[in-house]
Parts: sequence; structure tokens; C-alpha cells
Amino acid sequence: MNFGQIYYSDVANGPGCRTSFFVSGCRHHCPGCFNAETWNFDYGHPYTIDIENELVESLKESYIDGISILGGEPMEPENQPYVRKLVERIRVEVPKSNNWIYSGYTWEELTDPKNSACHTEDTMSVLENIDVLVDGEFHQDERDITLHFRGSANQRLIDVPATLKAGEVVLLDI
Amino acid sequence: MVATPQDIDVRTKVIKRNGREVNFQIEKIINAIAKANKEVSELYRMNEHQIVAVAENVAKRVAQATHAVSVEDIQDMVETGIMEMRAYEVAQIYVRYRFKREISRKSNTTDDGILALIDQVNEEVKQENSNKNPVINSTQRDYMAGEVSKDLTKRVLLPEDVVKAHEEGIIHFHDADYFAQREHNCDLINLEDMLQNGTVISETMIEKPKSFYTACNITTQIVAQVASNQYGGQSFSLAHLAPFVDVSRQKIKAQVIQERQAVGDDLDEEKVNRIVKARLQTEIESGIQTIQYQLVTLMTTNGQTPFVTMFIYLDEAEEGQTRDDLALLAEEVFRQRIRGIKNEKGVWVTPAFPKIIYVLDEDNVTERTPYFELTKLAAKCTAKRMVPDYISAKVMKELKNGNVYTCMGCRSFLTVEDSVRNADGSNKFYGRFNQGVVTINLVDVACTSQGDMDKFLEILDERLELCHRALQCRHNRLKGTPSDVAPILWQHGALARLEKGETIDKLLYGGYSTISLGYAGLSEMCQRMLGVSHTDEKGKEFALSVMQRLNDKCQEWKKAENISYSVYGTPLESTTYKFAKSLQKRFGIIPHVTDKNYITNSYHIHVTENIDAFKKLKFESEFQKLSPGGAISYVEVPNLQTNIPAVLSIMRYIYDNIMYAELNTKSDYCEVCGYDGEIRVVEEKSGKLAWECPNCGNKDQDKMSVARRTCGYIGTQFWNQGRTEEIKDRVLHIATPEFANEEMNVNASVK
Repeated sequence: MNFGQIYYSDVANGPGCRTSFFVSGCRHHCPGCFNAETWNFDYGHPYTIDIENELVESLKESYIDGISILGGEPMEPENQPYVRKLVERIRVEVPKSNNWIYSGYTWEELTDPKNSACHTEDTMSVLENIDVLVDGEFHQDERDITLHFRGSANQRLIDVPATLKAGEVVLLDI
Repeated sequence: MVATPQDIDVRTKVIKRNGREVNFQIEKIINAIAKANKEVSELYRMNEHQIVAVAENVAKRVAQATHAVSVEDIQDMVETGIMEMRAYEVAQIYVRYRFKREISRKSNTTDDGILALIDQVNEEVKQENSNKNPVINSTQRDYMAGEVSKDLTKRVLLPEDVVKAHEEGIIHFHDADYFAQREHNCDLINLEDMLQNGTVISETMIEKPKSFYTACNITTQIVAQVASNQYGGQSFSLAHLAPFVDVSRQKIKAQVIQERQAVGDDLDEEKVNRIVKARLQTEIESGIQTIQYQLVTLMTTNGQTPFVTMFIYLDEAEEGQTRDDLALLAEEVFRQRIRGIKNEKGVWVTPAFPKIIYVLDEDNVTERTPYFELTKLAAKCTAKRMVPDYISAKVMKELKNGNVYTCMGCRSFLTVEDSVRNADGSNKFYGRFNQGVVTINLVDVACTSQGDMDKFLEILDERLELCHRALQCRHNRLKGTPSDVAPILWQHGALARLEKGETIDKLLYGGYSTISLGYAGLSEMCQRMLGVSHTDEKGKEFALSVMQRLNDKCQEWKKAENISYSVYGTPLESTTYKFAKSLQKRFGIIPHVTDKNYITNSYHIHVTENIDAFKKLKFESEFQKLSPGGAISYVEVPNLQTNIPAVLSIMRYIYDNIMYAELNTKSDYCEVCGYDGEIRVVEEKSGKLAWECPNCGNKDQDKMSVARRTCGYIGTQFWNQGRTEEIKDRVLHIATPEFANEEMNVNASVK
């Protein structure tokens, strides 16, 4: 996996001050995407164990509320094994961290075992170790810069633990 | 004239002696040289081509200047130019002519400045203070007095070497426009004493108020009077108003009981209390609103609204009813501030005053503490209106012998003095004041010593001694002042209760008041001496040692004179440009040292340096410790209205790490589309900077409201191009990936 950018005190992609991690590679190609160069799976820099350690380490600061994994598309099948290892590590090593993933795939697509475009053997483990999934592609006609933590109105902030428990999508109360 | 000058595009403006800005005209230079040329005998004359060449060279140099050039600068260039042509006789005549003109000007030194002021063409004055509107008659009166005061200060009141150092930008003698009068700088007004024991305003006795609303009204009267009798800011404590909430509560309760008895209603306690609570809430709302609206609408004799800070520290009120009442008041203050005030078009905007300071303490900073809800409201208020600013009780107690108190106005802090105490033995702060400021330009010390460390220390000591003498002038100017010059301050409790005719002298000694040695440009100083920033280990060690030197000097002077000198992180306004310009003139352009149109305030990290909010606050806190006369650290953040947890994270970090800090948030409003977020500066094709709504593209300044902290306080009117450029250059200390390609992110990391 490659990644484009890491910010160590981001305030735009989730509540509080967060580490935000932009992975490379995306097949959605939404019109109006503000990060089109990251569609290429080879964009940016190779993701190494040192980078992973640094990400986990950054979350230990008292003033960092959590991590947001964005892209690119963190839930492309090629990226999922790396993302899974990262969120699993975070859960164990930094339990206070609040973990978000931004994906162009919807909750329904990701959790559909028959959907080979995005459902893999890693998918459920990824979801079990995060708190919020911001799902859905970016729709330019629904773009609204006044929305909290998302680009277009169709995208949802999903409370993942509550959704897993209830068996149906529960939106985050923000 | 046969020779014609080539067409040189000079956009740089020229500042005339009266402060007026005009376009550069090459003909004027040609004429001046030609005039001098005619007076020498033919043998020594320059030819026309030489004259034009000198003028062209000057035009090119002016065109390259990054700031407006003064007439004096141009005359220097002309003189050098003539000399370079070896036309020494012409140069001699030119210099003589210049000298003669200067003498004739000296005979009436203020006329030009004052007339330009009234005709609204004095650029210097226009740019001096973003809180004053020089178009208004009453403000012009203040400025006229200022011109006279500055003139007297220069010619009569100060020794020549101090004036010279001030004019060369080696030191800055602040507030010369008020120095002729016997006024001090800033203070903490003793509102508690005035309200509890009565006061006198304009020869009218004001007794202890019998309701909260009246107390609020009197408070604004006091603030207005105080502001008209000093040139600096003032602070008052909301805790001093808190006891009057219960006065009103009891009064309302008695009325309710009486009313119900009169019509034969029952006196059920719960019913009575419910009615009392509702009526009390209405009174609190009106009282707080009175303070807010009166303070922003008042015009003092200084031609501006009062520079006033409201201090909110819960522990200042007695635990129990009074403290809870103070929390109620604070809640109302924040609620009303979040709403804003209506501008003339009826749009809710950010008011500049009063500035608010909220103390973070163990009882309000983390979840599940008793006043955490209030702190959350404060965070929302900061995100929306930039204030409150924050004081950490934890860090302040460590630095100030267990005390927590507010600064005077924007950032001047009193020092803790063992000899100055309240009747109950606690350290006294309310009623104390600051005598004034003189600032040393540390960059100039570094440049003059040319990087030689021994020389640096020698020159530093010399310059500090010069500041010392300038400060003594300030002190001596106040000495002998009779209390009658400002009865509200000296006789009726704001600062003291002296007798009529008594001098204020005893308040100038023994620590009752402080006097400030300001400093500027620690960052550039390190660059010049060591080639590194003060965030570098080597640079930090050196910077701290210089700060220590300033403190040692203050201690030495204090011991010898019993006057409380203290080191102060000056908020440079127009002086930052003056210093930068003087440095360029004296030393040329040195990268990272004199290559900007400003120098960095106090110990602040250079605005272009990559550092995140948390590291910045942590680093600067070490320097704040060595700035006991006052200083504030800031972090530049984007619009955070939708991310209050981030504001709270920064606040908690402030609580743990730094005594006094503020967040420069962005919350603007576009009246065209209703967008509520950051409106940004864009560069138009012509090179002009304009404000543009990112949502709808509106660029009409009359249809948007923008607020930015431009000096110590908030500015809400639009700024001149120079200041707008500085605002545009500000880097964020928190990342927003949205702007990743615009190099606005200081902490982006790609390995």
C-alpha cells in the first residue's frame, strides 16, 4: 500500500484534533474529487512498518482524539489488509483513540459478502475496530461546505459499534 | 530640458513629511537637482544627462522598495547619487538647501501634520491604530492633541539621545501622543471597592447599588470615565458584580411576596421561587446586555471605545451561592457574545470589546467537573467570536506565587509584590497600574554587533541603559501628579482613594505600580547571531540567556530605585513596520533577519516557521515565564465552529502547559448566501487583495462581516492592503487538508 499524506493535528475530518492518514488508490473516480491524484495506487510513498509505528505513536498524545483514515480509498481490497492491521493495533495499543474511516463504498456494499468489489476477509475486522464510518461516494451536485466532516449530503456518519449491535445502520449523534 | 528620463514604472508611494502619501514623480527630483546645479559656477555643473541618470537611479530604487518610502529617504538617495557623479559642489548646495528647509519647518512643527489629519490624508495616523476611525470629529480632536503631544515630547520633554534612538528605531518610546499629559498606561480597576463602598463620578456621589442591573450600569460609567483618563487598557472582574445577583434576588423575592399578599395569593415557597428565578434571569440578561452594548457604543475622550477586558475567574467568588451566581453571569456573557451584536445593517457581528478572559481551573477543565458545561460554552464562544482568551490557573499559580489574576487590558501583567497587600493579607492586584513602556529592538542590537557575541552583550547593556533612562523619564513625568487630574482614578477608588491635592507619588514606588521594559524580535536576533531560529537548541539557549539578562537588569534597577521594572512582550502595532524599515535602512536586506516588512513580536516563533499548535504553546511557555511584565501566546486555527472538541483539546493543553494564550479562530459571515465560516483573502488579477466568500464568491465588503485579531484586540473594519497581506500570510498551526496544496499547512508531514 502507498499513502499520500499524514497530518498530525487535523481538525477537519472528525471531532477533536486528529491524526489523519491519506492512503493511495481509488476506483470511484467521483467528479469533483479534491484529491484526484490519489486515485493512483502508486501515488505517494510506500507504507512501511516505521510509518505504522509513527501513526500509532502519534495517537498517544493527550491532545489527539483519534485517527481518520481517508484517501484514496482505504476500503479498496488491496488496502484492506494494511488498514485492518493498523486499526487492530490501535485498538490494543491506544484504546482511547477514536477511529474513523472515510469510504466511497456504502455500509451495505461493504457488509455484503457477495460484493467482491469491496467485501474481503478483512472487512468485518476493520469495521469491528473503528468507531465511525463516513460512507458513500462524493456527489458534486450535493456538495455542501457547511456540512460537518463530509463533502456531500448523501454521505452518512455511521456509528459503527451501534450499527453492528443493532443490525441496521445507526447514524452518529453529533 | 533636452534629456528626458526613461519611463520607469514606480508604484511605490512616497510618504511626505506631513504623513500624506503621494505618487512618486521623477520630475520633482530632476527639478531639485537642476535648481542646485544652477547655483554653482559653470565649471562644476552637471550636464542634463547626468541629472536625469541620478533621478532615474533614484526612481529604480524607489520602485524596488517593498514599502512606502519617505521624503527623507529619497533626499538621501539624491545626495548619494550626485556625489557618485562627483559633482561635489552641486551636492553641497543641495544639502545646504535641504538644511535650510528643515530649519524653516522646525519653526512650526505640527501645522502640516494637523492639517493633513483634518483633510484625512495623513496615512501614518490612518494606519497607526486599527481601533480608531480618524474620519470622526471627536477622534480627530484626540489626534490633534496627539500631534501636539508628540511634538512637545520630541522637542522639549525628552533628552536628545532618547529621541534620536527612538527615531532611528533602536528603541521605541511608546505613546508619545499622550506623554505631554500626566497619564499612565493601563490598570486593573478596583470595581469591588467602588461598588461596595461607593464612588464619585463627575462630582456626583454614587452609593452602593441596590440591584444587579444598577451595578452593571455604574460599571459601564466607571469604565468610560477611567478610559478617558489613561491611554492604555483596563480590566475589571465579573466576580465583583456577582454579589449583586443575590441583592436583586432578595429584593425581587420581597416584591413578589408583597404583590401576592396584596391580591390574596398564597405564599407557596416553590411558586414564589419560580417567579423570582424567572424575574432574576430577566434582570441578569438586561444587566449583561447593558454592559455589552454600552461598552461598544461608548466613545471616550481618546476617540475610541474603551479598551476593556472582562475577567471571569470562578474561584474569585466565594464558594456556594456567590460562585454559582458568577457562573450564571458568565453563562449569560458567553450566550450573548455568541449571538454577537447587530451592526448598522442589522447583521449579527463579532464585537471587539469587551475582551473576555476565562480562567481554566481544576473545577471546570475536564468532563464531570462542576463547571465543565460553562467551559464548553466558552469553547463555543471562542470558535464563534475569538474570545474568551484563556488563563491557566494551574500554570499561573506556579509562576505567580500561588496567585491567579488578570492582565491589564490585553497583556500587561502586574508582578506579585510582597509589600503590596489587601487588608486580609492576600496579595493585592485590583487598583494597581502600569506607568508605561519603552521597547528595545533586539534585532538592531544583533545587527549592530555584526554577530560578534562580546560586542552584542556590550551593546545590549548600553541600549538597556538607554531604555532605563527613557523609562525614568516616564516615571518622572508622572511624579508630582496631583490626584485631582483624574479624580475617578486617584480619589474615588478605581486605583486609589487619595486626598484632594495629594500627589500620586507613593503609588509610583514600592511595587504598587509597574513600569515595563518591552522587547521585540527575539526570533530575528537569533537568526542574526547564530543563523538559526530560537526553536533550535542553540538558539533557544541564547534567547533564554538574553531574556534572563533583561530580567536581571530590571531587578538591578528595581533594587536601586524602588520602582517595579518588569520585562514585557510588547504588542507592536505600526512599530513593527517602523523597526523593520529602520533595520533595512541601516543594515540592508539580511535573509531571515531584515527581509520582511515586520519583525516578530516578543518571543513569538516566526509566523512562517513550521510548528503545530501544541508544540508552539509548549515551547513559548518557557519564554512566557521570563516575561513577567506580560505576554500572550496565540495559535492560528481555521474555523472550528463544527469541531468544538478540538477547541476543548487546545484549551486543556493550555491549562496543562501555558499561563496565557488565545486562539485566532475564523468565523465570518456572508450576507449574500448566509455562509458562516472563514472568508479568505484572494489576490485579484490586478494584484489587489480582496475578501471572497468561498461558498458563493461574493466580494462585496459591504455584504460580509470579517473579524481578525490585528493587534492586541479584535478588528472588524476592513484593513489596508499592507495589513491584509499580513493576514493572508498567516500560517495555520492546525492542519486542514482542504488547503494542502496552498502551503498553508505547517505540520504536514511526508516522509
